[in-house]
Amino acid sequence: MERRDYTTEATGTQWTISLWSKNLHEKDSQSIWESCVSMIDNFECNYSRFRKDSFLTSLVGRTGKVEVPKDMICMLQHYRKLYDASGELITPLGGQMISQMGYDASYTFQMKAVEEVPVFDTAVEIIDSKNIFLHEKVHFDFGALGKGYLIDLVMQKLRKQKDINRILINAGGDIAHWSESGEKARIGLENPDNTEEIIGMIELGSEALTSSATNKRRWGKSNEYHHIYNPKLKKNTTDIKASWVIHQKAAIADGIATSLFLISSEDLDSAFSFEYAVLTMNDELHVSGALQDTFFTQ
Amino acid sequence: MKKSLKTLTATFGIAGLVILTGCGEATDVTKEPLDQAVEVVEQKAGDMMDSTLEAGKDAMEGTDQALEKAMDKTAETGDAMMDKVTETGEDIMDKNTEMMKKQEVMDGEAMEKTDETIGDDGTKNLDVSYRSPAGAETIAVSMTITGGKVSEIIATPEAVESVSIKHQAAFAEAVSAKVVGKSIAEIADIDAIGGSSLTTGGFKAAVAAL
Repeated sequence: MERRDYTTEATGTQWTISLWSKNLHEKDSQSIWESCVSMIDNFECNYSRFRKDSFLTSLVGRTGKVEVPKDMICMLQHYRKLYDASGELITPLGGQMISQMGYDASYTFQMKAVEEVPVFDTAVEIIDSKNIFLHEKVHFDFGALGKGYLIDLVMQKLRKQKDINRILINAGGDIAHWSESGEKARIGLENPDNTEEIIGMIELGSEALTSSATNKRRWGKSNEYHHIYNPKLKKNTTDIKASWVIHQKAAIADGIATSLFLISSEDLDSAFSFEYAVLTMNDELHVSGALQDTFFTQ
Repeated sequence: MKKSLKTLTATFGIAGLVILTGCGEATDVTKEPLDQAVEVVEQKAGDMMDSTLEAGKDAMEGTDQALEKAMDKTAETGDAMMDKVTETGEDIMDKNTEMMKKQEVMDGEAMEKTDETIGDDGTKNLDVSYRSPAGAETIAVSMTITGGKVSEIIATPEAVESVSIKHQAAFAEAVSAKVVGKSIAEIADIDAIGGSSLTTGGFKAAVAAL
């Protein structure tokens, strides 16, 4: 079986898609990849808060009934579940706050006065599979699970293709894998303190593994700010260094990986079924059952 | 809150109040309502307020630390209170229980639980869990009576709901061994690395340009 790797830069990171096939012609494989790239570009065009021409940016300042793409409704529904489970800490309405904290569309990295994040229930109403009602002006930010959702979309698309036997999608460290014959992918877990190293290995089945850490997207005079924040405290999180989550869906895994910086895994247990590992700032490691032997220890 | 204070100040035997402003519900509370809360306590129970402690106010992320600090200070305050108590513990205990029962009737479900236990050494513990009008937080008032005198009063905001404390509980099964890194080059057959998202040139250039 032949493996082909394709790479592009999108959604603020690097995407690599590996396709295994017995008899797919290289030209067809290439055109499948190109359709993935346009899918990713299209998604970014709709949901990037960094792009002035994005659909998301066009919603800023709007109120009343708005027709939105189906994917946005799906993401809002995922958020709704995480919002409830996390005590309103995982929100799709933090766009203004993260911008005011300096991580804005122009990468100014200048801290400004930070305003309250709107309350989901009072600000946004999901009417049906096409429409939402904005009761107040909001700034959407799908950063907590948007990339995971896009990974799911790309995976769905690829699995519909004939003659592809195995798929590995790696969106800058967030990963989804599928194998027709049940093969496992060997995934190294990056050391958040030294990106030349890994601190564990996971055998990933046909599922998703996402990760969050605050080691890369940092800014400020002494690198004191990063991209994960508590919307109620209006501050960055401080307790957790990195998290890894395994779930069938990359969107959910992505959202949970972010959530674990803010709440305990127990809060999410009843709402979602997942495996996780969390590394605290004190280098304490906490892992769920299936990942007990994943990490390298002394 | 005013109702809670009414109950507390009317409870015979409670010699002082400690405000733990940053504990428990810190994730929900901003500075303004906290200041208001302190103001209300000062208004309604100012004469009992020789021991205001605003623990955790500037360290909301570390509620566990704030709680620890607060507990230390509360223990100190408890010691200070000993001198003021003139009646015998037995009397106080009886009056307290009576008073609380009355108050319970008056305030409906304000008092969650009144539990009296007697230890082997004659120590009496009176635990009163109090549910505030906000409904979310519970304050346990624990009084220890040794040798007929009140030796300790501890008002503990039950911060079990706070993020930090919950994390600690959930992390009970922490891996004790220290995690070690291995060079990626040393490991064979890695399909991918799972970690925080690589940043693009744009992000790095923008940070570097500052």
